[in-house]
Amino acid sequence: MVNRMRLCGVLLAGLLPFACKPDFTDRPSEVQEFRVLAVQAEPAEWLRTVDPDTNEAKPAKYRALIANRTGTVTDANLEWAFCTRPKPLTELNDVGIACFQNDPAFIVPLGNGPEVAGAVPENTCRQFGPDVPEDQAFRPADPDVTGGYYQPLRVLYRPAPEQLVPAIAKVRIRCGLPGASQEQTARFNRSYHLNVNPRLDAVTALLPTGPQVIGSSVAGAPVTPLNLAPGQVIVLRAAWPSCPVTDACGDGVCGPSETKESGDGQCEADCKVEQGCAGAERFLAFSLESRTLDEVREVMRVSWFAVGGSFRDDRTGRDAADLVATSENEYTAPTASGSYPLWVVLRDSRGGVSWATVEVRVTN
Amino acid sequence: MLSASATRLLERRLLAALTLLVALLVASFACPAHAQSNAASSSDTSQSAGKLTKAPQLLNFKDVEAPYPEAEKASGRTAAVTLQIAISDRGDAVEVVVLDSAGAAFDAAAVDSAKRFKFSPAEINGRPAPVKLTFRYDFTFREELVDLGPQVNFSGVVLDATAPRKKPRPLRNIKVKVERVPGAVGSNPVKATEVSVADAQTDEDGYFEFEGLAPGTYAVTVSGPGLATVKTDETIEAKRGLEVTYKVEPEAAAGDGDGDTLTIEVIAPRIQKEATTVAIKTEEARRVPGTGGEALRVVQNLPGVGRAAFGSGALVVWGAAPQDTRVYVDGVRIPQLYHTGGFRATVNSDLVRAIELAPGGYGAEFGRGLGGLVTVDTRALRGDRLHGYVSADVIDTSALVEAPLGKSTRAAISGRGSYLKETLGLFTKRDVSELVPIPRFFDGQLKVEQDLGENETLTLVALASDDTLKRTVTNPDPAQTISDERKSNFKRIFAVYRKAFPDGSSTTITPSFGTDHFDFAQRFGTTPTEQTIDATVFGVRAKWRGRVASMVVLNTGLDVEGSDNTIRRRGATILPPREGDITVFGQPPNDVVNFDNWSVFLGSIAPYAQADIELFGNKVHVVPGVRLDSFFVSGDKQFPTKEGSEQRGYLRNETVLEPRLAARWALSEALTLKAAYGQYHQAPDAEDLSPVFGNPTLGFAKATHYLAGFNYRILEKLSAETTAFTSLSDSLAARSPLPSPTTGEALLNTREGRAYGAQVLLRQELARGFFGWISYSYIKSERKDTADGPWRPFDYDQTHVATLVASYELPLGFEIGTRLRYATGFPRTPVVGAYYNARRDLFEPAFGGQNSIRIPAFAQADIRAAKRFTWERAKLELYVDVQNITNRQNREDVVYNYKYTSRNYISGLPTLAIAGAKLEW
Repeated sequence: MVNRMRLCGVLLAGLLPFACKPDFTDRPSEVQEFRVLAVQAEPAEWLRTVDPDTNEAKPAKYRALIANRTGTVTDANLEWAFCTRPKPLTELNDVGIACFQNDPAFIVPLGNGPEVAGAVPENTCRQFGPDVPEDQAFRPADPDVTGGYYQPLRVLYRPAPEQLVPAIAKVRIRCGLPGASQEQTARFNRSYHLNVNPRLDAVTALLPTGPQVIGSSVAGAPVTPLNLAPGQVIVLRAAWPSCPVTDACGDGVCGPSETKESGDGQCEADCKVEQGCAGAERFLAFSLESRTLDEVREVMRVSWFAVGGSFRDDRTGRDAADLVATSENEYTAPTASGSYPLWVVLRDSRGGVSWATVEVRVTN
Repeated sequence: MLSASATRLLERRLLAALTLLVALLVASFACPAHAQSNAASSSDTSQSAGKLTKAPQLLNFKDVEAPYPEAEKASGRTAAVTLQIAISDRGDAVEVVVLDSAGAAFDAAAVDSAKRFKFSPAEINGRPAPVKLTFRYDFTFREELVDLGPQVNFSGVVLDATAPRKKPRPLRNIKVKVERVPGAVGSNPVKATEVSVADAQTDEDGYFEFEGLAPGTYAVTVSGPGLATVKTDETIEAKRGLEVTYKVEPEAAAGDGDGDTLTIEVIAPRIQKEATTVAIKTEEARRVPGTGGEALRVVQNLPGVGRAAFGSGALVVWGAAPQDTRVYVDGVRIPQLYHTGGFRATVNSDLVRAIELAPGGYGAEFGRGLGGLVTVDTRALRGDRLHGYVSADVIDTSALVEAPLGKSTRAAISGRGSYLKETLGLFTKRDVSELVPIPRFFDGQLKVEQDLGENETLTLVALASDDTLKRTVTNPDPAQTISDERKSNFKRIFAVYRKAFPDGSSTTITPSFGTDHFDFAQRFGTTPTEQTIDATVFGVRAKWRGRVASMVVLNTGLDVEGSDNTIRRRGATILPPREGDITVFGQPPNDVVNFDNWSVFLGSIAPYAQADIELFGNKVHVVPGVRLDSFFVSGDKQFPTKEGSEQRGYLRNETVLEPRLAARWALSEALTLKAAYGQYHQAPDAEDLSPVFGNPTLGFAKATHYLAGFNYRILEKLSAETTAFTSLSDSLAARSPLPSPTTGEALLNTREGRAYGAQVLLRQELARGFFGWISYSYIKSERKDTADGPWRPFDYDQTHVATLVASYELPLGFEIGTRLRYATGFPRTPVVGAYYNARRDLFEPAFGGQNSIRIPAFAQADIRAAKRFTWERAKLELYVDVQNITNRQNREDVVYNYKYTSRNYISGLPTLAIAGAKLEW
């Protein structure tokens, strides 16, 4: 007999929106205090490679976007540490609360500072992935919707002795495939290409006088402050590179049907040194349902933050089927004169991230 | 361990063995008992002195009939007092002697009544003469928790007067005709929907009933094959029911066999009757405010039942999880009593005779559930003419048609369809379902009754229910676009074969078959949470009930259930949340996914026996019972699927012995003590036996119930009842607390539960147009997730639940009622901090003590007003049910801002009026 009552209990919980949900005045896009807005790993996906000279794993770099009402905090003394304790099934969050309890058994410090570098713990695919040794009967970790696994990275920021701003980042780790055949695993190993961080080519203000590029995640890109009248409403557009929808050797992107290895799909031009796309990439993912390797595409999300003024939407984006490489939002300038920072963060669904900072000047 | 194919083969063999076993048992139960040959003794001293030429006729029974003794109402027992009445030559009862006592209260009532009997004088050899006769005065008291059938105001049984008193033989297919006596005292004009002439046939239990008889005096004629036609008068009073027993003697049993019916009438009173005036509770349930006219929803207002969460029809009984309370219709389990949202029941209330809620400590006939027991009995169909109704309100429309199909067949068909989305569409141009999920539901019922022969009927019932809930919330952020689609339906078809034997015993056999389907598909951004369950269910329930000794009534039988489940699930292991999961309303789901599809067969064979032992002159009833439940669990997967590895199935069997014991002691005329004890086991849910999401080796959960209390009859229709209870459970399924669980052990049987408390009910039955009750329950329900863990409040725990219901009939067909409710808020786990999840760009909560805070208490007042119009063959009721009349902002759940620094509450519905109409004919 199906235990329908419990299922119905779940079902009926969906009716609760019939009731009156209160509106909170604070919004995710408003920066009123010290906040971590994003954490970036470079490379965006970790694959353990050993430096033959030092016989040690090559480190990855980590940096964070910290903001407060005065703007970007560039010299934040962040405390970085990996958390090695898997989350028990009794906790419904993304990571276990033990990651914040400073138990040295589970915390691997990476160092302090605005940026750090370090290697992901060696056994990460056992702790947070599917690589369970044959002689152990532990339940493998479940992948996310993109087929990925993640190593928790704790970031603590103490802007004042009594103030703590905690955050967790998750570093995508390249692990094996659970339950796949040898052929599928071989194909995956050959044709799955590590994620690269997306690139915010331009943040453009669509002004009555014409578009104006006001920000970019590309270092050194020419940007200019945005001058607005008090309360002026404009449209901002975030743009990222368009990635090819089919593979063509020589197009500068090592696609999911291309490989540097000999045989089907060999494309040395794009894959000898893997050329990623900084937009919505296509990649291989193993479907646990159909037990096939499927080609899927990243979802792109844009988070908008402001100290003054307000956005129509806190976040926008494009789902996997939407090939448009831009996303727009409406911004209403503050009514008081002054200089106001904006932040635009671009994320892909495999954990890649980049951001741009924009300055808005409101003058009468 | 077995391979999947071997497991399937074993399942088939097991099923075949089960079928054979059931067939054998059914055959043994169906063997008729021997008829009793003892004739009823009577004493008529006058017969020796001459030929009785005219029998005395009782003339004034209705005027002097004995009410059911006040002191015995708490016990509710059936009793009989055998009297010897000496009748003078003028027809007066000059001497009354108790030949067979039923207890002081019953004896006194019977003697008091009999002394005032007035007979037409008996004649011997054509002259008035004194005679003596024996007279059996039976007292029956029927009290059901909720009686939902049509307004039967005259009912009774016809018994063979020649059968031994302790083994009555019901007479079936006896025609009982009533005809109102014009101009009789107390006869008011017949209203449009009332009946003045009608007839009915007795069923296999000798039972007959009439509904809607207009108040007045009726000539009652009892006739049938092999039976002398006999007549008597009965008086039906307004707003009161009359229940009688007629004992008639078949012609074949007449003393000299000369066919002289007059002679037969004289030998002994041809019609012995016992009368108990019972309260008619027929329409009470429908009239409870806040139920929207849905009678079955009244269960949610009974003591021991927690207030259902908003939009939920979940029954939380004595602190047990909703899924642990079982619901049966005519002995066949159904998966849900209410449609999505709890607005309506899945079974048409107009087809329901009675619904009973046993919060715990129930007998051996039922099992497999740790919580309460809800039994719904469908009513007997009317065979006199076409009946039906059409009802509509802002939520749905329902209809029923009922008609005789020939002399021995009756049928009824009913259905319901909702259109709330369309109703809301009349008030807004927006697609409301984008904002809120609008449930859509249908249900249908078919019932056919066929008389097979003497004391033998076959009933066929089909039930179907379908629920759909859809919602899509678009968002510029693809990660926050939400779609939600949930479907559930079930179908049941079952037959009920009943046969009554001349010795008073009876057999009931109920084979059933059906399907269940549940489809839950939610997508939060790109994160799916999907589960589809298809189940084929079957069962057989066979029982025999009869008196095996002078003081022992035995109820024994076999209860077989099986379900073959195919389940597909995709999503996070931790979703959807289970009881004990710590989360907050609106928290985005975890975005990890896994997948599994698996098959599970769950079966159980449970022979049971239960004896009702009457002791100390019927003052004490001890009801020991035992149930031997043998569970079978078979699945096709023991480990997660892995390419290149052969999957292995499993088959497990566990047999448990469940003792049950109940006792009732009539301590005084008004006070009855009661106590019960029982052990209960519950098989793991099929959806918990996945090697990926659950644990194929999950064991059986167990609960033990203890209860004690008393009933006190304060006035004739005012009673109080108090029950204290404890329920202890263990081996409940809970998530593994390990950071790295073993493969296939995401769930473990580690949880324990305990619930204890007391409930009080003060109830006024329907009298002079008024009924109502006040109930209060104090319930503490706690869980402990691991052996070393602390006790915590159960997610559904409500310490205090109080309900007041009152309804009053006003003149001119108006009616008004109110319902007041108070309930402690549900426990919740407070958020004490939060951290930013940079990958998902959202804050995640850090929790404090589990279930250490509560939602503020719930309090609400509802009212209902109705106006009835009556015509010659139809009745129309217009009603409005106004919920939350004070527009109180009841808190339904806790909600936080995006960074969990500010807490607020989701409020329930504001004042909401539901208007509707119901036309009956």
